[in-house]
Amino acid sequence: MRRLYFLSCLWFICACAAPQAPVHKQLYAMGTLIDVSFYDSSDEQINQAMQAITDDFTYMSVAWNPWKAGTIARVNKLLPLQASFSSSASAAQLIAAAKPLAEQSENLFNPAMGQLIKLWRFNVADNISPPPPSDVAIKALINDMPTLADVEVKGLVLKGKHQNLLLDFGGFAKGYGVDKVIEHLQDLGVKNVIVNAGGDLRAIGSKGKKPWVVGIRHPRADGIIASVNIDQDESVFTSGDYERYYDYEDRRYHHILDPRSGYPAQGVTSVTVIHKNAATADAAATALFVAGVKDWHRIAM
Amino acid sequence: MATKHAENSSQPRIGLNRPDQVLLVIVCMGIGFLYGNIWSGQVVAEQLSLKVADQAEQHFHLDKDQVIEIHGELGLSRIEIKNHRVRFLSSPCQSQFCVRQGWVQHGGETLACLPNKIVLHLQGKENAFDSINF
Repeated sequence: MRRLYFLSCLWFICACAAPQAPVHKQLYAMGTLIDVSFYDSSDEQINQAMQAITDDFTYMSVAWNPWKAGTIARVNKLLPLQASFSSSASAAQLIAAAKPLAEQSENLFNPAMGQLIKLWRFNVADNISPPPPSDVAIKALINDMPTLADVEVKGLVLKGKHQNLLLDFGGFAKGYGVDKVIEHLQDLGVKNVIVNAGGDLRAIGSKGKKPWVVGIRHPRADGIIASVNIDQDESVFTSGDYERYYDYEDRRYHHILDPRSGYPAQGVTSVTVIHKNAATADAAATALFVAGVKDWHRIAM
Repeated sequence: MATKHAENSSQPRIGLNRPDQVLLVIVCMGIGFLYGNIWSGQVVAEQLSLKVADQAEQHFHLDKDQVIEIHGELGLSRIEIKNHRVRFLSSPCQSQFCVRQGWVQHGGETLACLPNKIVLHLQGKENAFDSINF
């Protein structure tokens, strides 16, 4: 009897120690690696979900990229003309979703500053190289910088109110896209999943009785700086100065530009935001990085 | 229970009786189990899974130190395994982001050279992390 008791304890311990493992799938889209972790989904459900994720990200990577021939590129051609025009639902919704976040961040998250990004040539991911643009050219742009408030959205009808409007949704499109993909997966009946788009992620559900465990990598050194347990629904987004940059004359020039100065934002290495909504987390990480040590408290409110 | 037993016997006993032994084994295993669970974040990975574009994954044990040379979409990447850790030693990409990321060692950690389409994924018995934010 005692032996039976002992063996049942042993079985119980082994059963606890060997839980079902999550299934990982990967694909390339939006110029990055999308890593998806499923828990407790059937093979058929996973295949269906991966097809949906591939289709959605493939569409977004063209549609919302201002430097490719998609719906935002078309919007960018028409906005500076400052006349009303009809856009696609996808573009109008993207702009409408970004508007309140830009306003709340006091336009430190400013998707209307595409001209500045273009001047710095940070729009060409494969060719980020020195030298930085001239101070005169930067000053000329920031003295008359448009914001999303200069874009009027009435349903699908858009109207620009500034001649320098050029929309670039870097720092937002990825988060917004992850939200859209998660919605799509929920419609397909997927309950426990992490969608990680090049390091930024949203997790829903859990790993059975355990939470999802997300590691946050150290921005400068090897290894993991923190670990976050996610149970139910949370997004983790990081903006860092190490993602795209070049060094020129002993100074680092990275891709997160401060719309106030026209130069890469100073004083912060990395900002990680945890929020239920991926689009908000993405925009907030950008805005807080730009706000810097002095202003981040106020902007975070 | 042990005290009562000792009183009944003619000479003092230091050893444990049967139920005590069983209890001790269970407690030790319990501690081992909890240690593994709570400190799983510290457990090193055992295996490297390497994937180039859409090709099948290749697996390497982390017991053996070595430098793996692999051709991706742009050219040759060199990946080093040393002391159960993994890093990109060199890669033909322009940004060198993969090389600058340094060593990884926990189950669940990922390193990637996107331009060369090479993804390294560390796997342990139970991964410390389900996903990595960076």
